[in-house]
Amino acid sequence: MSGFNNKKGKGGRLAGDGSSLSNFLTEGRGFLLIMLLPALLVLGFVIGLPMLKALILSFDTINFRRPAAAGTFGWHNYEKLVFDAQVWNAVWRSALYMGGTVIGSIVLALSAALLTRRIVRFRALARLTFLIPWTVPAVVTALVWGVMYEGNFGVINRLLDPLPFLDRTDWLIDRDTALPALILAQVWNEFPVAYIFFLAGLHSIPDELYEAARIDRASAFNQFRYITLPQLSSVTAVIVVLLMIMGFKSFPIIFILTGGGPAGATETMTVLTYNTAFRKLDFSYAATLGILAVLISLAMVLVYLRVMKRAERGAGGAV
Amino acid sequence: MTDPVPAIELKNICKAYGALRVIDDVSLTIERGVFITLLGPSGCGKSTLLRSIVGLAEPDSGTILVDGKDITNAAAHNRPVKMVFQDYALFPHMTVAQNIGFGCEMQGMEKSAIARRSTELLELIRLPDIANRYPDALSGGQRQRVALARALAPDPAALLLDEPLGALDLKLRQDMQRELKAIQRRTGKTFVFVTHDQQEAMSMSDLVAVMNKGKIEQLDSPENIYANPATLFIADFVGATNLFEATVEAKDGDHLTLSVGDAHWRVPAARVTSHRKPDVGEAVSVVIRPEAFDIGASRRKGDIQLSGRLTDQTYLGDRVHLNVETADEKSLLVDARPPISIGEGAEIRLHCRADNLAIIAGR
Ligand SMILES: Nc1ncnc2c1ncn2[C@@H]1O[C@H](COP(=O)(O)OP(=O)(O)OP(=O)(O)O)[C@@H](O)[C@H]1O
Ligand SMILES: [Mg+2]
Repeated sequence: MSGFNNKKGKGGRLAGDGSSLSNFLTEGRGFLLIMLLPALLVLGFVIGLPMLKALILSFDTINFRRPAAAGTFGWHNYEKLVFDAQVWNAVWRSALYMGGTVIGSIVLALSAALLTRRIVRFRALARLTFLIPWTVPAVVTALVWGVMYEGNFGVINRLLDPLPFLDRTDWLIDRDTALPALILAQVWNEFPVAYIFFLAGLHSIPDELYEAARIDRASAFNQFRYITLPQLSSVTAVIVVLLMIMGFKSFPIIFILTGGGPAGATETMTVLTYNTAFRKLDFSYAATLGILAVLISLAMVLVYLRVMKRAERGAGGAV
Repeated sequence: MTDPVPAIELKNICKAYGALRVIDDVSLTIERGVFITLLGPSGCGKSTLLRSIVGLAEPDSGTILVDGKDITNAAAHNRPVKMVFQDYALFPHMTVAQNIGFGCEMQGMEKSAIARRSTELLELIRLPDIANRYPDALSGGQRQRVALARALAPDPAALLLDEPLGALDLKLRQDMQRELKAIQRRTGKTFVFVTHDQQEAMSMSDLVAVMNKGKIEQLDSPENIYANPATLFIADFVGATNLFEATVEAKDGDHLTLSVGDAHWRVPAARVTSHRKPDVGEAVSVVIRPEAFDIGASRRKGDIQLSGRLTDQTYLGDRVHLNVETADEKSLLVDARPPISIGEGAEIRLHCRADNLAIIAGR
């Protein structure tokens, strides 16, 4: 990169007047810097500043219930974090939420993609149907599902009423059903993302593979097993990591429907962070939780980048 | 052919896409062990015909028999024929051995038997060492050979190959032509090969079926297709051709007299190669291949004599391509043996034996 720019700079100095500042600024790496400066400033401001602020905050003691402690810097928030069971429970719940939404979204999206792959009539309509949930804002999704889950009048209990072995439950108030209920709402809202990926993945599989398999007596199931699944493996890997990040970061549906309750049964990292900051008013500890969340997300992003790279290479080898 | 049951029999196959008649009443009998090529320009229906045989396309009408059994309505997986695709269609996530064994596995063959069969076929395609490689680690030619082995593995009654060499470069293509032919000889299988490359068809096949607009215009040996084209289309499509428009002036015994421009040619009536024999007064086309011409005036009685101006020559080592323009501004292709001691722009005389041409009714 820099070698390339240097060469360009030298090539530009045909007059042979040696290097001068104006030359540097109009032709060399300096020119590049000047051109990029506005963008770098904006990026640094938008991304870097809040991160830096959060980092500083996490070492401070900004707690509105103990205003006197402000300005006490140190590792105390991190020391507290390590032994805070509530935090690690929240991490575990985030993981459950993540796993549930990933599996649910993938099953639903793959089924929908397989279903709408080969249809000819009403093709656009069918696809649109599966994309609609994505266009619904999370807030609205939460409200709609909240109404559906409601214990007495909710449509879900009404649908389940005829079934003899199921008692009526208040889905969001029952400790055992609250988290799965949230996961379902989240899946409904976000599976279209995976659906689009799967649809594109399915379309990139050459028809000839299926024809060859058909001639070789492969049943529909075997075609799925030996062609569709392996051919979708790289796109699936990308979707999984993407959904994991989405699941880990999700907040509005949980917050609106349960706020972390009942009794902390749905308190994920995001909700805990919110509650710490705006209910307990301990901003510094919330910032520390935020840093932890960022580190976890970052790890997933790194995995995502690696998976993407592998998927790109894998796609080149498809014959 | 001692076996009376042909490998493949097509009877009156028709297929249309909307108003387009892609296959127009095709009947074809293919004996066992034959290498037959469907040759025709792009879009003439070769692939569709092949896909009908293997069960990937459904003909609108007609009957398909394989080994004497009617399979017209059988599903693709119940037909005893296999297909090799132009883009190989190898399963990318399976090794070469797994690819080759796939058909056998789907038929429920035992694992050890599949392994034996894979090894056997890898020997046949002369790539015994690549069993555990993945398709993306193979060259184009190797992939095509593996595709061939995969299609041969379940021991089909016939193998259908749809432009299998289309994706290869010229040199590799020629090697693969020889290889393919050798494999066909060794296995004794019936091969139905599709190509739009007439040279490929000529060099590989026992029989060539030339297709045009959904019909088979001629089914014959490569030599006969070249020497005795049944239609003007074939004369033009197969090999380089000089076409002369002529009229039948007279018929006497076994000879015809044709008027070609100002000249009169007396030619054997047996050289009429079209199915319809022309009457006196009818328009015909005379086909003279570039290599039928000899340079210089002829003293042999009955030879056809022409003269013109040499406009261009291309030296090819063992041959020279000449372009000759006649007095009536007709451009002739002449394929001569070097050395040629005539400069460009000079007058040149040509002659051709009266039986070294073909006459086709119509223009
Ligand atoms: N599924 C289809 N729907 C509509 N038209 C089709 C379909 N398949 C083929 N055709 C048409 O049928 C005609 C014959 O197609 P076919 O593929 O058999 O030609 P081909 O001889 O194999 O040509 P090529 O040498 O280019 O492969 C073409 O005009 C093509 O456009
Ligand atoms: Mg074709």
